[in-house]
Amino acid sequence: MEPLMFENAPVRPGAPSNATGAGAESMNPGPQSIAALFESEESALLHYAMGIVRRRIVAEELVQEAFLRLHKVWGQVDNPRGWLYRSIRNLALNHLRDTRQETQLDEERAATDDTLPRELLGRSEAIGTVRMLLAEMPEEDRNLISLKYHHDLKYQEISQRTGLSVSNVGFRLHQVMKGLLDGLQRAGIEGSEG
Amino acid sequence: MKNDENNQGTPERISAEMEARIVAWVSGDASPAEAAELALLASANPAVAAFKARMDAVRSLASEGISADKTPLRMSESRRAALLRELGSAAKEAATATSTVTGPSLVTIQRRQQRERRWMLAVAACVTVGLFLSMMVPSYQKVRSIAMEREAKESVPKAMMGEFKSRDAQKREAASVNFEVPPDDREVVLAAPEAESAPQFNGSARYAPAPASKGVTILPVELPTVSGGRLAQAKVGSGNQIANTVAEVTPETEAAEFKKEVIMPKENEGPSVAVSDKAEVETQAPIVLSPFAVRDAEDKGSYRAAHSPGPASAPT
Repeated sequence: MEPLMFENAPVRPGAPSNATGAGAESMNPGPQSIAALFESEESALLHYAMGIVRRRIVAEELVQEAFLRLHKVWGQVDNPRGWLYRSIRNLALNHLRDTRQETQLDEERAATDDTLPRELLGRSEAIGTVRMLLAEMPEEDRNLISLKYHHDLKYQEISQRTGLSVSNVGFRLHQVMKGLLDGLQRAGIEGSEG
Repeated sequence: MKNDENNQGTPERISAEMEARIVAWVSGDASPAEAAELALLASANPAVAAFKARMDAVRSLASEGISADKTPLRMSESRRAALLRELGSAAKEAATATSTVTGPSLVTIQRRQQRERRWMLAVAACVTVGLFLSMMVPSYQKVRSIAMEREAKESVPKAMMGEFKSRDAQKREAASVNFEVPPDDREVVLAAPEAESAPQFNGSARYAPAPASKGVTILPVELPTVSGGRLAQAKVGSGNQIANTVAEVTPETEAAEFKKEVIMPKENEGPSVAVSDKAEVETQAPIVLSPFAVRDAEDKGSYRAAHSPGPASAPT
């Protein structure tokens, strides 16, 4: 089975740590957590940024900028992962706005430079948006999505694992899926390719 | 979520129960019979078909989004190393700061600063208001008193101006002549208070000493007329008594003594006026009515005895 996203929830300074080993690193989990968050989210964030700006070098710059900004406000952000996705989306849209003419002129060449087809880039944006929405939703709902669409469990099995009734699992899953649909529409993503 | 799905126009809204059934169908949790029924509904109802297509797309995206990337991307090595170095060095600085500094948190400091700022603003506002009031109240009182004085002056008719007395005039009147009428002696001497504020007319004002007070209140003196260089008479009234006085002026000695002859009215007769012979004799020398000189504008026309009639030294 493929590895799961959102497995390593970042630990912010001041938050209670689940680590059992009480070493020097677990005493100060904040600074280490942002580095760990970078390690775990680097690829997804690069995909997401590339899906919007369509250029890898720009995507790297945006991800770097987002992490540097997050580092400055690390102690004040409740949801660092969601904050990162939202920040990269804003940075990418600002970049597109500021370099609109250049983007239009180099659009054809950019697609060939990055060797990624437009359909894949659009889907990367859509997946990144879903990840942003998943990062911002409650842990229980995200767990429900994981059990259903990553582990492919039936409603009955999910009910046994979560303690919810089968009908409640169906109702919650319906609500979460509809929330994702609304979020994608608000982000301007329509169609299968984003 | 294909774009061509939107070309069918705005789909009808379907019920929440139908949506939940479609989600279960898309997720593979519908029974075969349920799936067949929903497929039939979707072919008949475009709204159901559109919702099913959208849920298919969301399920696919959610499945990919919840899983890690199949083709992981990494930054360029130089950029990655620089970023990690930046985060790592900052991490070390943060760790050092955390281990050494045990002061209040940033939020606490900010709140404290905000509180202090609010207090300072309140104190500054109070000081400003206090200064403003201390500047405004005295000037307001001054303006008000001036306005009241002006109003009082304007409210008095001009014809009554002669009756108007200033405070100084009232004080002088209060300290005016006390006449004592001895009950047994029928001679009344015009007396003045001890001349601590007695006006000096060419340094020659002298007053007759006042006798001991016997509790008789003397009304102010009214001088009717002066004719022929002679002080004709002065009326002094006290209760039922009317005293007529005659001032006698001796120019050689300049010692003025006011002698009064009190003549009690006879029954069924009004008050009579007697003029002493001495006063008639002294007609050769000029008589100056200096004791009744008008010195205040308020006393204009009132002719009240500001002080006891002293000797008439003639101011030239």
